Amino acid sequence: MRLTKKEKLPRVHQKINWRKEATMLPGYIIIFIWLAFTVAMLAWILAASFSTTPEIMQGQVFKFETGIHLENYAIAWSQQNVARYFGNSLLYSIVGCVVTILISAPASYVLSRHKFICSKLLKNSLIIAMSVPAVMIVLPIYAITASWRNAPDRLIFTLLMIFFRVPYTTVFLLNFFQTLSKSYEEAAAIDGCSPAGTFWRIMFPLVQPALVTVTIFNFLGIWNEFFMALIFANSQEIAPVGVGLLQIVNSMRYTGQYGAMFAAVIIVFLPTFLLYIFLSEKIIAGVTGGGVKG
Amino acid sequence: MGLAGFITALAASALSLVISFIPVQFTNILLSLFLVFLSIMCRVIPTRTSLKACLAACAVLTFIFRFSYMTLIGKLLYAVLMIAVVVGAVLMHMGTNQYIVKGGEKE
Amino acid sequence: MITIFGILSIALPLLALVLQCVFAGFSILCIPSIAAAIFAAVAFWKKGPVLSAVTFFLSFIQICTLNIQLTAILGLLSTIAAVFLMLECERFQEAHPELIDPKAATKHMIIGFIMPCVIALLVMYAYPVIRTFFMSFFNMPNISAPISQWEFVGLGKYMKIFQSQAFIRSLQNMLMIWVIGGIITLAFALLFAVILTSGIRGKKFFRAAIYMPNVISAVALATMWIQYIFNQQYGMLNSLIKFFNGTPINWLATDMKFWAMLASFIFGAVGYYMLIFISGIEKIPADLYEAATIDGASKAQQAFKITFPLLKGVTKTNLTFWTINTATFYLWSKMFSPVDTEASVIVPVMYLYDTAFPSKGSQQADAGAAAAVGIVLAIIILAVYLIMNKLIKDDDIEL
Repeated sequence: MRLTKKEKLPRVHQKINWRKEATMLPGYIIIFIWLAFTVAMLAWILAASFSTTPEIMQGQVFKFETGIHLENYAIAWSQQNVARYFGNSLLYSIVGCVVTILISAPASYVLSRHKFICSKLLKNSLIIAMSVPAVMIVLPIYAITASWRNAPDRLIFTLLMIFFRVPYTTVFLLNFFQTLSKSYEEAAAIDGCSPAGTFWRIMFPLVQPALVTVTIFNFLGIWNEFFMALIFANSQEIAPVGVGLLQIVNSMRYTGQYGAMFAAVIIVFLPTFLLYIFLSEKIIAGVTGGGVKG
Repeated sequence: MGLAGFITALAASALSLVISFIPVQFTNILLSLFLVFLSIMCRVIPTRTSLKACLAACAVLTFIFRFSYMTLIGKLLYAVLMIAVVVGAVLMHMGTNQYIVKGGEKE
Repeated sequence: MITIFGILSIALPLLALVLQCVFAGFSILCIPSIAAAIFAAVAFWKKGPVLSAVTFFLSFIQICTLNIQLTAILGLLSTIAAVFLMLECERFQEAHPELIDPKAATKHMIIGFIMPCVIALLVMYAYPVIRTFFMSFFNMPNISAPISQWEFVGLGKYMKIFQSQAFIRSLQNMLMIWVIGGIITLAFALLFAVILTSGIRGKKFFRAAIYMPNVISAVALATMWIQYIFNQQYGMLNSLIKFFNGTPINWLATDMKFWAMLASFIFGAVGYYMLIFISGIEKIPADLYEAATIDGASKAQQAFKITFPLLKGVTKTNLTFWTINTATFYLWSKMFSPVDTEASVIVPVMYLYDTAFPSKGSQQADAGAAAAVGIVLAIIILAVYLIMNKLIKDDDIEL
């Protein structure tokens, strides 16, 4: 038995050493319990989103006795306004990510390459700003935005999200610009490219991997934003998914549509989850690599 | 290509000017007038890249600033028109580039 | 020509500004006009096309912000003037290439590239933090009241919040989350990190799976816990209890709620700290373990003798993040008491929110007290950070 196993797996570098695996058994068990719990929870929620309210109440979601109820999703999407929340979040996230990069990448490049008055101070204040909690800044910002009542609310919230992400993005990109060789600029200068043109045409594309990573984090950050959204975007019209889901859950006690509520949970959960399935390696490398070192 | 871009941008700005009158929205009229003006300028001085960049940026800004003041249909229409203006600006830019490249080859 | 357009693009915004102020009074709407005039002057002086492009955009924004027809038309005219100024500046630069200083281009780039970032910092961080600090010493009718209506009360607001039962309770809850939640979270995170780095199969998958709750919307996650795991009728925990013939428990009753919240919060938080521990463990040189294995040390011995002592620096990082995380703890409390704040799960940020934006009409909004709460939280974070730096010296492996 063991021999056949060994023959079967020549391309795997390490052969299964049962002795060694056995010493890890407690580790496996702990991880498996945790994982099983997570999977069970997600599976149940997914099943519940296809079931009727009575089925959920009786705890029989996996039997699908009355078939699969896709109308839960239709109800959640149109009646419970998820479509609007979803669109809002998409708008905030996409516009936010793009503009944040457009603000941060040039600033980060200049900070990493040139020394000028206050450049050191600016770097330090960016790092401090990264750890300033939102509670310290919401009250004055609320006061500012209160006097902007005739500006579109969505614009204000998008702007806040952009400004909120700028310090993190700039600091994250600093390390990457520092690693680039100076010879690029020298070559570009000889060819008669202007400094700003050099940045946009040569340096900006070179840090593309870092831009992708930081954009993923910005997207997740804006998509999952809750505290600021509750203060600055809590009306039905402009709420992002987080606040929207809270409103749906709160109205549950009146509507009693459990199936639709779980469908809404799945709709809110899915985009970032899918993103994570495809990009988990990049995300995890980003968490431990850049950013957190402050 | 340059002419096509010019026509696209001018037509889109002119249309946005027209719909600004139903109902009359003063700021929209001014903004659309300006877009028409810039489109014509782009045609008159085709060698200036900055003009086309400004035209595209103004179209985007117009849409952002006026977004909350329009009905849903107005928003959709405006979105399409403003995208058309941006496309027109890009086409004009490409047209000029092509012209310059061709001229260079002839020499 | 350049002189005419330069003067026009300075004068028109100023004229619009004056008229706007005369007819509608000074407001935030006037700022683009002021900025446009200033930039026009600088652009005219320096003959810079980039500066005049900025002038042009500011003038363009004026058309939208100036809300009187006359001033809006002036805004349009000044925008047109700015377009010509830009063209003239470009032509000027092309006619006098010797005037272009190669260093000036770099300087312009630095200013242009750094400005948006500096504005973001000032608007979003510097000004609000300073204003919050001052707000905490004043009494004001509402959050957006102008400074002229502020009334100095010294430490009065701090006295007020520390006499408030709800605030004391929120601090207690925060302390419990910090201590109990911190021990459990970091213990689990360390346990998982040690297991995953001990050469387990499928490490990448497990790591990704455990980190997953950090990525998905916390509101969705909290809803899953509240509506499924803790549900009294069909919830997972009670189903398990029923399966073993126990009596179902109301997990969301007042006395259980805090622990239910803490458990679900920990579930979501563990992954992040685990990742940081893993990155710390992976930086420990492998030859240490090889030597230990040769000397006959077991996996558990290796963990206690090698891994833990060398993780001081990472633990400090984790503790700092945990402190910030606890001090700004809000979402889970809100999800567990969605409508009315309940004493069992109240946390300082929630108290701040209720003080600044009271949902019930009977309560008076007190922005000063809310600001004081913010300051207290910031001081707590800072104090913990400094103490941690003093106690745990970063003398181990450089991370």
